[in-house]
Amino acid sequence: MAELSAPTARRLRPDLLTLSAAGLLTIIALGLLAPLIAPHDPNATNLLARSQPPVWMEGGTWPHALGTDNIGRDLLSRCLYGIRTSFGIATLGLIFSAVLGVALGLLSGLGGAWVDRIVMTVTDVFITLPNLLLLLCGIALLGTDIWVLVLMIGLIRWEAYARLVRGQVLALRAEGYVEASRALGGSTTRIALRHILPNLASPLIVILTLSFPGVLLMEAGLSFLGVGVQPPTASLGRMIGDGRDYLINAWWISGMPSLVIVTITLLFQIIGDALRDRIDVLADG
Amino acid sequence: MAEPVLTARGVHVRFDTAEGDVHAVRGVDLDLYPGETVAIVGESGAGKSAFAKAILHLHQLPFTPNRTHIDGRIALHAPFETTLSEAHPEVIRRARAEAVGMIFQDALSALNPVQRIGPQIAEALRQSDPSASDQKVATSVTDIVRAIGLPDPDTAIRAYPHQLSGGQCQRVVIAIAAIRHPVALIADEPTTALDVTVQAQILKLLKSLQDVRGMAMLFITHDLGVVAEIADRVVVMRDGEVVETGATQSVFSRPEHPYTRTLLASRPGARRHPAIAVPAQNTTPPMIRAEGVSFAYSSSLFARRRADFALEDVSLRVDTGEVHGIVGESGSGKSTLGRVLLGFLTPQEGRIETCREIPHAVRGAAKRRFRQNVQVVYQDSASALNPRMTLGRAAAEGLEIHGARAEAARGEVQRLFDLVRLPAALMDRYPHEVSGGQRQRVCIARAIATKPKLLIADEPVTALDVSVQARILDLFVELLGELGLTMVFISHDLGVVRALCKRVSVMKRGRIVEAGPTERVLDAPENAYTRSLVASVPNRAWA
Repeated sequence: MAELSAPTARRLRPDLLTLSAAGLLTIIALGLLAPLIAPHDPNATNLLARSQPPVWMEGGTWPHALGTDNIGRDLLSRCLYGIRTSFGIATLGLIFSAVLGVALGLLSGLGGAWVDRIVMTVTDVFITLPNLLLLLCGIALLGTDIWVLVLMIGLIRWEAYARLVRGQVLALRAEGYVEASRALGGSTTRIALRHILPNLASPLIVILTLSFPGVLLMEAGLSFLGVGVQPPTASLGRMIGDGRDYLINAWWISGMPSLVIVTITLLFQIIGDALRDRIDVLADG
Repeated sequence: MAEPVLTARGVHVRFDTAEGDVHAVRGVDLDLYPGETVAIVGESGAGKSAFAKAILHLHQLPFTPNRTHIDGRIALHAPFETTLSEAHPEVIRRARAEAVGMIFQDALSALNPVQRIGPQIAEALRQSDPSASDQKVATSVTDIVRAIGLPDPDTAIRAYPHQLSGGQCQRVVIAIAAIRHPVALIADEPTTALDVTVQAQILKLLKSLQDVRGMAMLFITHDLGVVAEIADRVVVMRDGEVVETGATQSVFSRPEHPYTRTLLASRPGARRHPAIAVPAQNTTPPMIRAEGVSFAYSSSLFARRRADFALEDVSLRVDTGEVHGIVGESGSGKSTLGRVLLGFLTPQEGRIETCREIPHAVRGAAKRRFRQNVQVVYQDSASALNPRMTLGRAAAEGLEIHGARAEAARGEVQRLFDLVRLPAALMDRYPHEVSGGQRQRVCIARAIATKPKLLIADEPVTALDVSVQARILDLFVELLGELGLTMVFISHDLGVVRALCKRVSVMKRGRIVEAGPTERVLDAPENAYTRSLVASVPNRAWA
């Protein structure tokens, strides 16, 4: 991204993009620094302060700025730790799926007709499998470990990247510099790593940014259903699930983590859209 | 000559772009008289097209913010008296519809891809004469299609644009533009994308239309041969300004402005490179020996028809140290032959030997040696360089592949940049930051880095402006002498081939129809096709 030229830079809506990026970085920093800045132990219960509303409502207090849940755990602290958990799982899952997808996409695009056919058939099969069913099966078989979640998210997501990469490879393969490299005696590995991959970076960054919210929501959904992150570990989805019985009397128990998820998702979407405008590769197809 | 049909005075065109203001046209004056052809020549970026488009306000697209500022006075005279530069958009629309026709380089995109040719012509007829009966329109369409010389008019009327060739599409576009009897026709590089024999036919068609209708023509081109062929007067533009104008004959024979002189001197035909020494024949084994080579792109053995062959029974011999030209029109198989010689395509029939190896079958260490010995330069230097690699790294690629260490490679690249006359400072730049000519120099540097014995140059100067073209050709001549290269030079431009090549092979539809010493083949062609090819070159004295 070093060679951001003047005209493209101007096309970005810099104000909105900069604000969103700053907001996102703040949220990430909050999650990373949770152990240092959280006012309370996220799992410490205080039965005397159960279901306390946030500070701006009647009965709210500053020590529990965002209120407490039904067993008196501090929601602010739990949200901070929740960001850490959910963000971590989503990021690792995304990286895993991207590596898998890019590798298979490159293999498919450069490996010859038969390899291409096999890889594409496998992706077709994966597309037809219902995601949720696959996830639940995996978790039922392997248990509810955080690494199982990462693995399953990776296995569900890779085909989209594999398809994108394969399409780009087929287009890039016809470029003069790829043939020139072959004429110089360049190996397929060299062509893949030196010529194709760097030119894939831009569309890949866009699609990864745009699909991050989906992954985050997937983790949240599983935890909400109780098959994701196990209690008492704080994850955003888990917290929403914890509060669903108290929506009428204490909406903030679900409301606070929901707000965090909405904010993160929105920020990613804005950043992804801005990047797409800049690169407009996905706009063509 | 009486009244001009079109006058332009002090026309300026400015574009707002993200990089700032671009002043594309800086004060152009022009008079266009009925029945005459005025050519605007200049290299890319000279402002030729920007000026032509400004006449009809074609820069302004509907429903988009206006980013183009046109100053100056542009007026149409009798019978359509208006000052276009101040006119209401509706008046300009009528001027486009009734007074001034316009044709562009890309004819295929000027036609509606989902409508047959006949209805497209009929639509134009109906707009010019709404009262015409269906019967009358149908007859007129047939007449027009016949008049523009499409083979088999009945089929052509029912054809979709993609079923016609580029030249045929351009004829249809010209016919549609001429239907309303415009007083002037603006033609923006109408033959640039076409083969030379087709170009000759299109120019003839335009000329005959002009004779019959007496319309004026403003012809924009970079091709001086075309100018000499058709223009009465010529306007030479550079950097948005007119540097010289006058009758074609006098400008060409006595150019006054230094730029015009450079332009004329850059024509490949105006240059004779010092003969490159060809070693005595047959003392060394030939660099390329091909016998009866046939190649078809379709992969199925059974489905292959005669017409599928991109190469058919091609035999070629190129001696060591020779510069061999391969000429032919698009689709003649020139580039396919180049790719077979490089080993990227495997011919179905015939024997081939490049640099003492069978290019498509060479393996292992011999293949590494082959790749060092046989190199290629392509037409499109923008695509031939990885946009994410600096020019220095691109040039070093061959050295790296063949085992040079990074520091050694960098030193060598510095030497190569010097050799192709590029400043070393460009080594750290990216391809989009430099000009097309500079990019092509990098490609040449990359190709000669591995000290090859054979260089296959596939239209290496076609995409370049004529003055840049001349400098790249000079570079080739220098390098050939210095490095003792053998070169296969693929081109459609007979002038370039004549200037550079000792021997030439003429290709048509996958076959070599004539081969021999360049002078003999081009000056006294024996084959009928070669004769028509040579005859089609517009005004040979100036091409």
